[in-house]
Amino acid sequence: MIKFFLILFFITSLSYAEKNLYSFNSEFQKELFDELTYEIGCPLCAGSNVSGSSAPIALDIKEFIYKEIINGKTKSEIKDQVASKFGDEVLFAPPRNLSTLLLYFFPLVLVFFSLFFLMKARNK
Amino acid sequence: MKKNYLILLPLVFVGIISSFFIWNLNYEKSDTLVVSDIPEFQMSDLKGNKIDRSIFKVDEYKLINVWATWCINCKLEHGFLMSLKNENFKIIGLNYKDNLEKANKWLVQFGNPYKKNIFDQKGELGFELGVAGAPETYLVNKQNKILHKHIGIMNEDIWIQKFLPLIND
Repeated sequence: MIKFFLILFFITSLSYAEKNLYSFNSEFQKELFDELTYEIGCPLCAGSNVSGSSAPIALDIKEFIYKEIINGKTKSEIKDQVASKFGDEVLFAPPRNLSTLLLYFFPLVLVFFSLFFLMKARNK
Repeated sequence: MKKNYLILLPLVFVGIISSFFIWNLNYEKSDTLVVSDIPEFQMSDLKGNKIDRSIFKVDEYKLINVWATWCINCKLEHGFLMSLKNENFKIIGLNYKDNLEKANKWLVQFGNPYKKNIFDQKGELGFELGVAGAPETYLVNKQNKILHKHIGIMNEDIWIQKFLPLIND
């Protein structure tokens, strides 16, 4: 039993160790890496970003993001590059255009509708 | 009377939203139509010979098929690729993150549908092309632009529905 927990303990330490694989020249670069790996999705795993995935392609994308940051590329440049290879779907903040209008405004519409019916019900 | 209509409103609302969701269920995320060029590359084939972008000849349509011996679905589409080859359609294989010895053995054992094979052990060219895994099949036109990317198994239906309409022009 103790062995089992020991194994568990070491497995979690390994996954923490992975985060420190990349070394950066500045705090700014490190933050940029964290932001990008958070905002770019893994093309094979629905709903997961590359930061939270250990799929081979997610590791490749992280490696790519790291190299481009070291090369001094900006956030939007890196995002554009990844999207041009794997498609817009990998960007977690979809571009604001007509087809994504519903996506952004639907929550607001829902709130107004609920309020409307709530008031109706109260006025009865 | 007016009140009755108001009661129906949420139902209509839910109906509109549901139909929107159902409509989106049929939207295939994997099939992205991005027109992009074949990048320059210096790789070797499965025999160890150096190859570069010049294997993509101008003035013919061709497929890039991403495959690997560890990929079970690649075995499932292999028969269809063989039949395309028998129709003289040119397929360029991208052997993705694989083992050279196993890959050569596979081609001897199951047959070789590929005109040329690019050995991409680290998935570097694959990354440039936007390969997320295997199998994937890309349609490349006469000007060496990628017209269509299909993720997953290739078969007769997908060939007829997704690829042929883009070729007949």
